[in-house]
Amino acid sequence: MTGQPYPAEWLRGVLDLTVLRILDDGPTYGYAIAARLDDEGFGTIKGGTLYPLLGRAEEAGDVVTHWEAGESGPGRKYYTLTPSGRERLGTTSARWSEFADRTTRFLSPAPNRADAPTPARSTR
Amino acid sequence: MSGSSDLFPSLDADWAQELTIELRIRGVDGAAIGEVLATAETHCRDSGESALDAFGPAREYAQTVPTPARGSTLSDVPLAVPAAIGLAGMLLSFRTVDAWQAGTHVALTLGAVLTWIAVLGATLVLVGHLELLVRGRWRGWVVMLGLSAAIGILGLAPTPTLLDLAPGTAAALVAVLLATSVGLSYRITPEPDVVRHPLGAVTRSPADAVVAGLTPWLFVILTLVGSGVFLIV
Repeated sequence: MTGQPYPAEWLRGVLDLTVLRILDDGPTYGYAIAARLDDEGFGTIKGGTLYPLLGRAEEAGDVVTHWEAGESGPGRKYYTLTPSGRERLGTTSARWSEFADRTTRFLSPAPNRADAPTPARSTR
Repeated sequence: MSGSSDLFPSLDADWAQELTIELRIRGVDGAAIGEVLATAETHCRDSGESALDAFGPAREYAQTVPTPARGSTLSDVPLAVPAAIGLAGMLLSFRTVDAWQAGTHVALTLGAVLTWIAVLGATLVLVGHLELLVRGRWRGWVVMLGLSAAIGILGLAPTPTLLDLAPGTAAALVAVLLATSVGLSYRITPEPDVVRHPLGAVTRSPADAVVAGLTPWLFVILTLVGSGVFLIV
């Protein structure tokens, strides 16, 4: 972690996957998900980004929700990963790893690239 | 939004009200609005952020909430039946008082019938396009003024008389129409779609309860007030 926030467009591509990964550890509520993402170095995720994402995950059947009454407050909405959400997490995580490896290899300086192809000759 | 600050104390009242209005316009029901507000409430309470900081402007956040498929305006027609009958009773009552004062019969004109139809149609159209009044600014009010002018002209224009009623007969008809309107209101008007917390509490204030209780009697009240004004003037 560099301590600098990652570009928002990077996070947009992977945020739903990170949220499903957190829910894979067990049911939890919105703010706890945001706090965990912050702890993991993904930066501050605003409620205006997080809850629409969770809503879409619920519509897609990846999570289910329920409300639990709180001891000191009016209660919280908990999100639970469904079997189909867990399956999607598995397949999409594998795809993401493949994509990240490919990107890392591609961005590596040429001498370090084991699979570095012969540079294409410019046509211009 | 009366009562909501008790249930959602961590939310700025203006933000919550704007979100509620936007979601109402988009056809979201009270239970779903309550869920959105309650989720925002717990997030702001936990994070210490304001609703604006955490969720952005209410109108923009409302766009992210899934909305139900909106029914056609025609789906509101059955609910409008008690109001249609009550309105007919009220309009007839004014003509009855006028005729009774002038010592003449009550002339039920084509213009009066068209006025009744125009008011009903305009009301249904406006209910189906609330966003025009809320967001349309001058456009909404121009439409309202235009409709009012057209309805006024319809009512005042000399048109053929369809029915000539004695004042006593007309008064009896007014009573029947208003009684039917009140009876039907109690029978077919659905429970008020109040904003409800997912854990059961509602945001209904005493004022909301009074308004809900008086709604079936709206045209009776308007008839009594309107007739009183006619008699005084």
